[in-house]
Amino acid sequence: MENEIIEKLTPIFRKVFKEPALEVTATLSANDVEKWDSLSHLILISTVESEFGVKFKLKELVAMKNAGDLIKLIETKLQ
Amino acid sequence: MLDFFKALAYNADSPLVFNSVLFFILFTAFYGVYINFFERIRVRNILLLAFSLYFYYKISGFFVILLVLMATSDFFLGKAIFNSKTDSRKRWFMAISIIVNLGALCYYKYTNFFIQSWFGLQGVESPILLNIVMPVGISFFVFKSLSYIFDLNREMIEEPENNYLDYVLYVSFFPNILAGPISKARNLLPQFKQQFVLTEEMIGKAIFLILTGAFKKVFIADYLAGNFVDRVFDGPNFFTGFENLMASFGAMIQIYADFSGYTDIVIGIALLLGIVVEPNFNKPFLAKNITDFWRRWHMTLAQWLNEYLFYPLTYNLRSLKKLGVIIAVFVTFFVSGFWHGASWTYVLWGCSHGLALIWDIVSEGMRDGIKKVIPKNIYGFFSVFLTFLFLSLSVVLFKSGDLKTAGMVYGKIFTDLNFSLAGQWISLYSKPFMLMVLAMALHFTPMTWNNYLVARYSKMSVGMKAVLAFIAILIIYQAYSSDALPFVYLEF
Repeated sequence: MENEIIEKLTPIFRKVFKEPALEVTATLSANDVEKWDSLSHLILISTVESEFGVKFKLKELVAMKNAGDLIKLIETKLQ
Repeated sequence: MLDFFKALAYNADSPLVFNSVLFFILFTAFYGVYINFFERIRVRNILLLAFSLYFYYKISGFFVILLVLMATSDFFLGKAIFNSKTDSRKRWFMAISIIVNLGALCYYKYTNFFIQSWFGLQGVESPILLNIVMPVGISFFVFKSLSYIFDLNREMIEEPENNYLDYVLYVSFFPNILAGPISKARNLLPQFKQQFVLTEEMIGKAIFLILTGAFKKVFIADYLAGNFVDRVFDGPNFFTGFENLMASFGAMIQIYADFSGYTDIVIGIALLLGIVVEPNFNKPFLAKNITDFWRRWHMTLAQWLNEYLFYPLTYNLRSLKKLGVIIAVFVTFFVSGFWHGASWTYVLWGCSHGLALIWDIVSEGMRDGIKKVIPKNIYGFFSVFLTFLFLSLSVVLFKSGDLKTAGMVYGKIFTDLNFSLAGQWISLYSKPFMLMVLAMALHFTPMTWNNYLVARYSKMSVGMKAVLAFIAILIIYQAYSSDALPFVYLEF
């Protein structure tokens, strides 16, 4: 499940952050990606929501620290 | 003797500020007792609370009761939020806290502004001016307390505070009650539960910060204001366009030296008590754009607004994508301007920064293109310079008491600018000019220099430290004339 999510997330991350070679790992965070600011973060979230057909709560997003948290969150939403 | 006791009571004309002799005496006396109970957490916290409440009483009189009542209300509402079984119940209790906190803030800070604006819209002067005195620091302690409520609601704080006195201490903690840094409950409250540690290095750093803070305030901010900047802003039309431009640069440097000097003193005093308060400044004039500036200037306010206003707004507007962020940026900076003061000059200042951030968003592609063709250093230099120019021009609104004065300053800068007067101005105002250069130069020195000085000072013997501190205090006190100016941010 986790690998499938990463596979689906990778092109989204690459497109949003304009980094064609970006690898999505569990520890990847805003500190590692130059273009990861509040605007691109929001576009990332809304794209993930529409691609995966899920809806995040504000408090879930606030607690999210890295890509690993996002992957886990998507996983629980899909189950 | 009676005079001494009178001096200890509330007096609206002589507030207890950090740069007063009375504060120095009272704090030294308090610290002498406090340090003996340093390891006994409960006694130590009660002493801190008692001094904090006295400090606020001395400055604001019986508003100290309002402060305690507001803290009490949030203490119980926090518990109610935690014990709520449903999200809607949580939201109800959070709404009550928002109404209590922002209601008090609006009443004390904005009532007269709303009345005047209402009549102003109808083209008449307001016949009513209510005699409302604003409790000092209300803008800051309301935000502090709300951070606790918001964090509980979004589960950033896992359990509510169970010790009533510790919560009141968090809200009323004297070093940062008047003008920040706006500490978050999740950073400050856990520290009150721990055994404090006070190393030689911390004491050295604390004294160093207090002294550099006082230096920034007295030698840079007050000197610049009194000898140049305020004169120009008192009558912009008596000065040339070039002088008005220099005064706007000077105003930016003055406000920075004033507020960051104040914050250094706050952080230093808190450190002496064993508490680490969040930083507020990180070399703001090195900012490459206004987005970058707000990561470096009044950081605790920017983080507060980012976390509790901007982020929830973008979340709710996320279907609008870029437009959603643009709306959220503008609303956030409108609120930021309004928070600074009940005046249209502050609102316009906030809006100007909001527009600059929107520009950062919409021009990103274009700037990326320019970056590719211009050498990195030149691009960096112009980014820093243009950002500072924008900051100085927008601070005219912040510094002017009214729109008329701001209009005069802008009128002079944009219609009467003659750079050939530069030499004459420098010779006439050589000291303010040197100070402006010095302030900027200090700003650009590497952090390692600062760390080196702190480390050297920390390692000195107690006697040597005391002698150096005494000399520094003496010099600062000599320069500290009777007409010394209050800290700018105490007005908010």
